[in-house]
Amino acid sequence: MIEKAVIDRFEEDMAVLLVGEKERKVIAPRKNLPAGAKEGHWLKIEFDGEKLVNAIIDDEETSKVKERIAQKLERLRQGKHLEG
Amino acid sequence: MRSVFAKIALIFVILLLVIGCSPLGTTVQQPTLNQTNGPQPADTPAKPPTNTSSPTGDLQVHFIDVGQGDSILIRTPSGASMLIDGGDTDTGVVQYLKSNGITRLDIVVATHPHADHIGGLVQVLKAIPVAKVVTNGQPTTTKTYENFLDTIAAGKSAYVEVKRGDTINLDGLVFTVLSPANVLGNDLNNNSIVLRLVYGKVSFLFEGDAQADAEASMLASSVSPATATILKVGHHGSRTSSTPAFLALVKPAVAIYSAGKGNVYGHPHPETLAALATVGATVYGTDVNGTVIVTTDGNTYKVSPATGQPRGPPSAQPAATPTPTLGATPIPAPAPSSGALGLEVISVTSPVAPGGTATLTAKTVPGSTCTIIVNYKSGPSQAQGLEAKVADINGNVSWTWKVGTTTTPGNWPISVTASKDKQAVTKETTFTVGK
Repeated sequence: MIEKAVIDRFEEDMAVLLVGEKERKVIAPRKNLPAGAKEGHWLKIEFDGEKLVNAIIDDEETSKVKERIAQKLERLRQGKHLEG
Repeated sequence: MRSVFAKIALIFVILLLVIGCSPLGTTVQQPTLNQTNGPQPADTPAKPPTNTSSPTGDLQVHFIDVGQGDSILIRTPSGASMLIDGGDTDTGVVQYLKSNGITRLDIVVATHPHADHIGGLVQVLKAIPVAKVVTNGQPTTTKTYENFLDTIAAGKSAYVEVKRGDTINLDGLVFTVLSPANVLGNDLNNNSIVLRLVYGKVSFLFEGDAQADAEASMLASSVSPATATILKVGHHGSRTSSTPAFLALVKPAVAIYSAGKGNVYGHPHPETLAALATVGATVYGTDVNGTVIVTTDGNTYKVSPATGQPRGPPSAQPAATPTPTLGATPIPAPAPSSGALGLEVISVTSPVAPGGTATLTAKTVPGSTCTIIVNYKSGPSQAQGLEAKVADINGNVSWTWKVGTTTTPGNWPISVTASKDKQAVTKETTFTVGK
C-alpha cells in the first residue's frame, strides 16, 4: 500500500516521518529515503511490514501544501483571523 | 510633591523616547514604556534597556516531562503564565497545565515547528484560551504545523513573530530573543527561538533545539547570551548542540535537558553530558528526573525534580546560595532593514485607577491597519475603543478605553500590531492599573 508521508525532521542518520492523515510517527533510516530528501518534503512511501521499502519525493504535493500553508500563515500575520 | 516629581520625570523620559525614536521604516526595538513607570531621579541619564526583570515574588519554571520533546511552563508571582513549546502530540501537556490550575495562557512560544515541540501545542490551543502565540515565522509543511496554524486562527490568539534583539513581555518579565538572527537559514532546529530571562540575580536561557550553528551565531552576535544560572540545554542534549565555546560563555550552574526515557536518538548524548560536566553544571533530565521545577525569588533558587537526584557532577549539588549571575548585557538595536514597517508606542496612560480612562498613542506608517490587545488577569480587554484602526496621514494612531471598575490591579501587557502590505510589526508595552 502506498501512503503519503511528510519528513518532519532528521535526527542525525534517522528521519522522522509523519505518515497518513493522522500523521502516525515512523522513524526510518535516512539512507532509505531518496537523495535530496529534505525536511518538509512530502513523500509517497511503501512499507513491507514495519520496514520502509520504497520512498519517492512528491514535489507536487509538497508545493501544494507549501502554498496552502503560506496563505494560512499570511492571514495570521495580517491578523485577519482576529477580524469579525 | 511626589506626583509633580513623577510627572516631570515621566515627561523627561517620554521626551527622551521621542528624541531617541529612530526613523520609521526600521525594525529597531524601542525601550518599552514600563521602564518609565514610577519616579526616576531627574539627573539620571537615560539608561539603555537592561531587560532585567525586578523580582516581586516567586517565579516558577516547570520543565515538563513530555517524553521526547520540550515543554516549559513559566508562572509569574502574580499568576501570568507562558508556555514554551508543548511536546509532541498526545504527551499530556494539557493535563499537566490543568492539574496545575492553568485555565488560560498569556503567551505560547513555539520555538520552531518540529512535531516534538508544536504537536502538543495544537491540543493546548484547543483546550485552553491563549492570548498570544509567538513564533519565528518559519513554516513547515506537516499536517501538525497546519493544525497549529488553524487552531491559532480558530482561537483568535494574537500572532507575533520575533527575531534576535526583540523582547517578549510577560507581566513585566522581559524575555530577550537571542536567536534566530534576522535572516532565517533553512535548518528548522537552528532557527529555534532562544530566550533569555533575567530575574533579579537568577537568569535562564531557553535554547529550544538550537544547534552548533545557532550557538556560533549567538557567540558572534552583539546581542550576547551572556550568562545563565539555569540553562535549558539545546536539542534534548544532542551532540549537535552545547558546543564547549557556547557552554563556556553561558556557564550554567544548572543545566536541564528534556528527553524521553530510552529514546531511539540516544539523547542525551554522552558528549553533551561531558561538556556540561566540564563547565561544572548540575544536570537534570526529564528522562531520569521527570518534571523538574525551578522556583526563584530572584536571589536564590530551588530545583525540585519529581524524582531522583541530579545526574552530575555530584560535587555540584544545587546550592542554597547559588553564585549570583549579575547584570544583563545591554541589548543594542538590531541592524535596520530597509523597507520594513515601523511602529513605535509613543505614550500610554499609567497608572490608571480602576474605572479610569487610559490612552495609548503610537506612530507607524500612514494607512497601516493597527490592532491593540490589552491583557488583564481575566484575559484580553473587550472594552469599547480598542477596535482595529487605520493610522492617519501622519502615521498617528491612538486608542482610548475605560479600565473596568473591577479590573485587577497590576502591570498588564499591551500589544500593538501594525500591518501593511503583507508586513506586520508588533510592539509590547505595559501599563499599571492601580488600586
